Amino acid sequence: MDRKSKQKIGIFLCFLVLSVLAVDLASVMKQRADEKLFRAQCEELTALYPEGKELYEENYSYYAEESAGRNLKTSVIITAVIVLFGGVALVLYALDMRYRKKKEERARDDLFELIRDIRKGSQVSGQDAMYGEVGALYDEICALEKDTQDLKKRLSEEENSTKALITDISHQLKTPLSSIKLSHDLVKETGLSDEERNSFIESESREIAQMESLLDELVKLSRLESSMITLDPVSTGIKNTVSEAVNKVFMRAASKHIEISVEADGDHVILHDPKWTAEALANVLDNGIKYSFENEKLLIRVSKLPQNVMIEVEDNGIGIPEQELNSIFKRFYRGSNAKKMSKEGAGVGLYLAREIFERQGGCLIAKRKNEGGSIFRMLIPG
Amino acid sequence: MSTIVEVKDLVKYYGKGENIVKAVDHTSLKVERGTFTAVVGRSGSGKSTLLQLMGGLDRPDSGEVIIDGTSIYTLNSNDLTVFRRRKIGFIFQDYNLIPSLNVWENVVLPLGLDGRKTDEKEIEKILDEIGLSDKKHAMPDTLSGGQKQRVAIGRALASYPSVILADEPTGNLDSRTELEVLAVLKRCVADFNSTIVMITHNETIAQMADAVMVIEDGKVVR
Repeated sequence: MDRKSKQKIGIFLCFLVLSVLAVDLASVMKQRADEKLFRAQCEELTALYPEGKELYEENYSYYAEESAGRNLKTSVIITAVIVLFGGVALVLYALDMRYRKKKEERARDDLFELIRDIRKGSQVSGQDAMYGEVGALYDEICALEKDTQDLKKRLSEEENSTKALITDISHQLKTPLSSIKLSHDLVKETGLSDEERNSFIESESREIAQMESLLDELVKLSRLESSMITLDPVSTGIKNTVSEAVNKVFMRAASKHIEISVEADGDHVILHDPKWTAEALANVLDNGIKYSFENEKLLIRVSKLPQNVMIEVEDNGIGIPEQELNSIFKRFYRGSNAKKMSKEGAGVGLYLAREIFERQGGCLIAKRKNEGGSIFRMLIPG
Repeated sequence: MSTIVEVKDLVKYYGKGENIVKAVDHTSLKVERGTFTAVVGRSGSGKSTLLQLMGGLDRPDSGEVIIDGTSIYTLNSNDLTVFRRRKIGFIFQDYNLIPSLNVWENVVLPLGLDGRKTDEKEIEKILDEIGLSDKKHAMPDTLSGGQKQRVAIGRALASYPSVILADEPTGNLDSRTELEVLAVLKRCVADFNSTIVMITHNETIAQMADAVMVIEDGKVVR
């Protein structure tokens, strides 16, 4: 039995003894008051009618005795009742203590079992039938276990994504490298005309330039994936960010005689990372230019929605087949139309762009236009 | 990855004989914790029935739905009601807000029904996330469709359920508002580590999901 329970029982017993004493005291006082009353009545009567004094005294002493007996009986009965109730209460208390102890032992055993389960790594589900501090502890351990599971999951996801990234990158680099190697071997061959040699060298330069741009994309991608890119949001106008993005792709658009126009309902100051947002938007624009035909138009629309600022990029290009809409944002995915249209591109740009928008609490989706071409919609909260 | 919802060989047929409709036909699927999953299918593909079965709103002919370790159809109907209130959040196409309660009251409603205390700070955080901090005393009839749906999202989040089931949540919204509401859902997954299963017929909005399942004639086909 613990100290607290002993204290409780001690206090209860003291209370019991005090109650009995109080009853006895009350009974003695009642007795005294009765006797005093009888004596006073006796004296009053004697003063009025002195001849009956003996009769009065005899009478009153009889009543005094009877009242004493009655008082004693009452006090005994009350004491007995108090003792009986006290005893029953003590027994009940002891039984309850035993029950609680057993329950706590059971809960403790469950707790140990839970900890053993967690260490073994088996799945743990919540349990409601837990009481008191042990129950709270149980809940805490369950919560801790959940956190650990989440952490484990995150770690394994990170590991898997790094593995996949390395595989993907090496795969992406192999193809252009082997074609450079081929051109290079051919150039070394004797017996080539100058014209042929120049053509191989030119193709080699093209491949190298393409590989350079691919590497550039891959570096950005791997920096983003390994969380080396930290977005640095500042409150600034979106107009500048859009201009910055247009500047990045302007030359490429000009080379295909594609006109880029911007429609905006004024400037909107929102919290965003201007550098990376411009990069993301430039990727979307670049995608639009790559898959548009010459002399086409590219339209950028900026508008304020209740909760976000929306940037739309609309092109009249080759469009995206409906069944590929879900895939175009996947890393290294290239659509079937895209492959036909352009050799360039590794399927990194849109993936990177979506990541950048999502990390700022926004989103990026693509829609098919009925008349051909696509609309890309980007949201940034603000 | 930890699985939070598992559907095992679920079957629900309506009608008999020649008129039999196989709404859900031996379907199995798994949803991972902290992901945004889209179930895409045409109308009549059985996706709504599947969602109702996943949410314990109907009983299957056979099969199992396991949410957070509990096989929900082994519970009696009272226990299932309590389980649903605590572990599953719902978002419907037509919002289902209580018109006589303001935004705050609508959001805390599931907690009140469950006799749970309201953690005001948490609710403020949710209202902030859904962008309605300044509208907490507004009545539903003064809100736009997008705002109503955001209140419904807040209500689903308030009880921190194991999974939130959304049935065509943007079906009544124009395409811009749709995108805004989806961005909120997407952020909830990131910020509150919520698990969301959304059914839709719209492939475009399914793009936002981490995982997409396509359902045809009551079966998951990819």
